[in-house]
Amino acid sequence: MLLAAFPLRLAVSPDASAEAFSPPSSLYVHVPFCSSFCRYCDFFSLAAGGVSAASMSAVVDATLTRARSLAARFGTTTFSTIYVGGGTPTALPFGLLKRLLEGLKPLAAPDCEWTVEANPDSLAPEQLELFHRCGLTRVSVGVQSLVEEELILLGRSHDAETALSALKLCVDSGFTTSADLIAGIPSGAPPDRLADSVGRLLDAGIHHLSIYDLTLEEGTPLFASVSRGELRLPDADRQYESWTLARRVLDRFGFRRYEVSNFASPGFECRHNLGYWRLVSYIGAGPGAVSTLVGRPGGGGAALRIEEGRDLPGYTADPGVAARETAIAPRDAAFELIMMSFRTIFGLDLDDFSARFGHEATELLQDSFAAWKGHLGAGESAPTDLVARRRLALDQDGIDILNRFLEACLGEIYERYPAGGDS
Amino acid sequence: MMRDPALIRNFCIIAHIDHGKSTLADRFIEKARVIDARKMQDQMLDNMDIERERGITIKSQAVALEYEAKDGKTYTLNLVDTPGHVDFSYEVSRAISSCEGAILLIDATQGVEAQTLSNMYMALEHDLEIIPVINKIDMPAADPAEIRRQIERDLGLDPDGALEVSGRYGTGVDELFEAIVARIPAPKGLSADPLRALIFDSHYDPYRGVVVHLRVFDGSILPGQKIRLMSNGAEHEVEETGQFRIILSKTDGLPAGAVGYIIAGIKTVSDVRVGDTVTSADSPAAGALPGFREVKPVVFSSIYPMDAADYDELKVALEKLKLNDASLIYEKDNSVALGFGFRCGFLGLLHLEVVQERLEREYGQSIILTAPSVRYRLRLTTGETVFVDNPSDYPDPSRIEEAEEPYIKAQIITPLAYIGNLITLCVGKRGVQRSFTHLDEKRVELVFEMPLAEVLFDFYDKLKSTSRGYASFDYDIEDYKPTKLAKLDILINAKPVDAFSQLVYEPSSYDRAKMVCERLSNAIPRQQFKIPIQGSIGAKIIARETINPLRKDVLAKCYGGDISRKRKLLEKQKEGKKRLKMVGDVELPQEAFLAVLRTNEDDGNRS
Repeated sequence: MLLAAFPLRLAVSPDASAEAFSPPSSLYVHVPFCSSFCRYCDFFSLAAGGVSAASMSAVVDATLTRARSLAARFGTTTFSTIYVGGGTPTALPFGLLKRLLEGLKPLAAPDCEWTVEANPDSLAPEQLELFHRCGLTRVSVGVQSLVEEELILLGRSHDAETALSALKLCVDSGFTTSADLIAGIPSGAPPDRLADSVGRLLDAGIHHLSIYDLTLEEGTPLFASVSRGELRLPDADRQYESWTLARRVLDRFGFRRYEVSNFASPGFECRHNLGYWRLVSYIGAGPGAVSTLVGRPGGGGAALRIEEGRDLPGYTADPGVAARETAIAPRDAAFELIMMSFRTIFGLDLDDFSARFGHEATELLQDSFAAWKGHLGAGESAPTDLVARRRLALDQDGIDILNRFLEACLGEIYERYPAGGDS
Repeated sequence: MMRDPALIRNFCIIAHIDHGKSTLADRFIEKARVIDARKMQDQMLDNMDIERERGITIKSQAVALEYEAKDGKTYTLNLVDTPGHVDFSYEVSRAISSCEGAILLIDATQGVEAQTLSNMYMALEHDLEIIPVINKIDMPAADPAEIRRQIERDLGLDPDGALEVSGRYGTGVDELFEAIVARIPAPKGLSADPLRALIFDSHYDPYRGVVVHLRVFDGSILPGQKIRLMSNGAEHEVEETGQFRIILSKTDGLPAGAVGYIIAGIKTVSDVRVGDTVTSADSPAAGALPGFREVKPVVFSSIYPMDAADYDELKVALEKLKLNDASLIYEKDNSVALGFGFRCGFLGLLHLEVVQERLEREYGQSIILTAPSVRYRLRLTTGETVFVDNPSDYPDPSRIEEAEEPYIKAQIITPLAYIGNLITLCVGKRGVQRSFTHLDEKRVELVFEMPLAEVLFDFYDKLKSTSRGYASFDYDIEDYKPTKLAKLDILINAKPVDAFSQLVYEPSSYDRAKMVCERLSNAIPRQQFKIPIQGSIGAKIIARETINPLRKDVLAKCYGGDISRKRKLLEKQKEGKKRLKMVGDVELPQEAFLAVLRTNEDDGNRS
């Protein structure tokens, strides 16, 4: 294990280089267990039933230790956002969930946005009480669909009513409540069905909604069904129609699309995720989680990525040894900032870009920006802005075809970004 | 050692495609112990990959076998292999005229087919002794008795002289050897006469230069001798003579009657013309052997590199290909849409496909081909006559007095059941029926006169699907006939793309335009804006399709855990787009060009 991990470690001493990175303000905690598997999901997770309580307990302890040690290494004592995801965090036995959340509590800053992911069928009042006691502020519920046959097709273990009552419970308990839906499920349902589901969710009082176009991930059972022709994905025009109808309902409820797949009443955007989309430094603890440490302003722009090991015994033995650290060259880090930033209506913070990389994005990407000027504007000011920033953002239609924009940027930035520095 | 002509037998195997010619040739070589059975590659005479994959022989090769006959004498049996496709009928005719006899191979399960007949006529024209051989008698569906009836009735040959063999198992091959020795005449001709040798093939050897395959009719060829090619007077000195064993096997000369090769410092195969006569430079023969003609390409298409920067690479690849393919001709061409490329001429559609595949597979070229065209003859108002095969050379229609296009004689043999549909097909392809002959109670021979351009388009596939694969087809190029011609332009986003232009039969232009527009709209991926695709003749729009704008192209999920993966995904996607050709502001994938090139009509509706 030691030998295998060794060559992958960064050549420079991590402690010495920790200074080069902006201290992380966000913490992600990955709980790699699910009580059942969904037919579309390729996230890293293990069947809760197949892992012993002792082993789960060891994972929780190692995760807490790891979170603390990464925080210390990169100079952070408390985080302004924490996100406990998975897997299904609520698949943990109550006692372990309690231990995890109580262990994280000292890492939460006073105004911390603290989210936990939950499945409708594993959410009970006693858990919500626990969330309150620990200081959690947000619950994100994986609903995916309110159409029964789609829930079955996706391999979800709950029905629509269970999902709605779980959401109501969260809302009534005072949590900022978010739900996930999947669009484009190959069920043959009429295009207005998505808008129906959206309406019912918003009626339930939720504050935040994510709608993801179904992505077929290779290796999932759903991918296999579609490849074999058993299921047919709806065509692009039909999907767009369904999406447009859903957008209308969201508008009516005052929900704003602030990212490719995310909608919220203004002020209820997920601050943790906004951190990813500004590519701030964040720590990821737990098997399979990822940390990114971005360069400090004026430091040349190189970033560090740490991928946690996925093998449970290895992880519990020493998460640091099981992790893989990769240096991200300034040019790649610059593109990542572009790639993440333009996902939101707040867009790219031009001042932040030039501070990190020492180059103006408007020069590095002059041709791409010129070619896309019809879709580009000053953007909305972000909930995280303390002072006015120079911003550049895509309009709603531009966000829909973000990949095309990014392909243009990718070509140009690779051409123009000065060579040298880290490879 | 110069062998006595009485101990030489020169023969070829003629057959319809897939009747087992190459397999039988393998057994000959095996039986003759030229090489060990274990070393045999299946169908070793077809030594190019593409030929093996398609099961057809394109380049002919010859092999000499030493055979000890029952009379105790050892004979040299020269097997002259013949190309098996209609595009190469001239090469077949030269190979046939190098022989005294032919094995007419007929598949015991298929019977007499179009090429069986056309090859037999060709052999009879050259006074060859024909040995009918029924092959594949090991197959459960074999019906040798029926084939004997067909040999008598359809071919007019003596069915009692037919032999039965299995190329696969070697059954009957000994008897066939004896028949070759006994029935095929020994070559005539005197070694003392002035040299006359027929070139029936050539190939390029990277170490030796051009190896000329020939048959000596009169006189003899010796190393050191000065020879002259009678068609153009070019003179060369013979460096080596030899026989075709599995490798080239050096001899001290080639006597009258021999089949073999010479190496004579010739640089490219283009300097050697199949059908030409080789004579002695010092004491030349009075006249050349009959039958020589220049092989002229009949199908034309332009080849462009997918990436304009690869032009020089493509040029080198074509030069290398040309070393071994004298039939391929090309010249520089350029297109507004595609930049620099080459206008190429081919013997037929199959030849085009073979060249395309070899460029892609052997030379790693990523290429675009334009729609294939025949060569039209135009009489201009000035009285001048011009030939046009490239749409970009098409003159202003007001300057054209009359247009003519090449016609073929198409020979089709089909089971009775498909006649109606086949006649409909041929008439739909502007065919005019010339004859209708009952071969027997089940099969009919149809002869149609039809424009070559129609055969290029989608005739083969239709013929096969209409007859469920049972009809066979052969053709000869005949003459030019008047036609109504129009230049169809394709506009993408309101801009004409010259690479998509094609010369079409005017009354079919609406249908063609509609089909091309439909195919393009299926092959071109959605882009940020709406793209009209139009077909026009002159200023008149005759077809239109629209590609809707792209709705969404975005990664639905991107959070902290998969940034590296998503970045790499985009890099990969970007890399894939390198294979797109920007034409105006529209990105065209290679499939768009293939969609126009594709000559069959069944649209695979990929979306």
